[in-house]
Amino acid sequence: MAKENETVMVPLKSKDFAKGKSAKKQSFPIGQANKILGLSNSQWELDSKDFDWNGKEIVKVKK
Amino acid sequence: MDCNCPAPTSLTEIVAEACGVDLKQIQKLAFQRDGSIFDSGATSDILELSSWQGFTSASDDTKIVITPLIGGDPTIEAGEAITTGGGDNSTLNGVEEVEGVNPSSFSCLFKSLSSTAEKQLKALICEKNLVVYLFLQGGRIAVAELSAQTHTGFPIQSVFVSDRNNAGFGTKDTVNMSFELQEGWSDNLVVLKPNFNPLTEL
Repeated sequence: MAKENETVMVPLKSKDFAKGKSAKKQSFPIGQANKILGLSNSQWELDSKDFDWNGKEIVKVKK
Repeated sequence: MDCNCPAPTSLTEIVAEACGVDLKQIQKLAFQRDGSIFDSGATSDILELSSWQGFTSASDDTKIVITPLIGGDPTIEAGEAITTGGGDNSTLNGVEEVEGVNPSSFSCLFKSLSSTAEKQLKALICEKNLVVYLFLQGGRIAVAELSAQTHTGFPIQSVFVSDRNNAGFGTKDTVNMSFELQEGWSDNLVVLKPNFNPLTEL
């Protein structure tokens, strides 16, 4: 499980991009990324196979 | 208003507008520390909900906080002219001289706020460099346009949030809020219709 460590950056991509535009990608500190994905109407999703969203928090994928 | 030199070579053109611009009712406010912008050329298009969610979830100077729905009486009173003289010997021909413009005053009240929300609103009193985004009826947003791609809020100062008013039986408690919008605040005002409803989705 990823710790609430602000130095860990999590890549996200937006889901609400307009037609003709590509999804915007941005990395957020993991604490902020947890807040964003935790929103009921979140317009972001993970953009990395290194992390997973378990519905409550972002967890590091074990390889 | 800066009337110092260099003066324009001719009068500044006034565009003939076909459409009116009215804010109508201000229904929510969003505050942010001054210094951040929405940039549609980068990753923060002001018209997209994802951009706002990026700012509302931040834990640094870029964070945006949003008030509950305004309960009533949202108004902006434009600042009056600062004048000197008039009808006396202190100015040329005794004509009143315009020397500046006062800031504009926003005020509104919130109804039936919890003490938690009241206290959180009051935390804004201690902030010195804020900008405000105005969420308008119909889900529109009034912002300051820096360029075609970049927008920010209107600079404000002197935020005040009152203690709770109580008028007794059959009434709702109210909390008054006010702040001053910098002189010239509406010079670059644009009203945008985002791809989401800021009144219900933020």
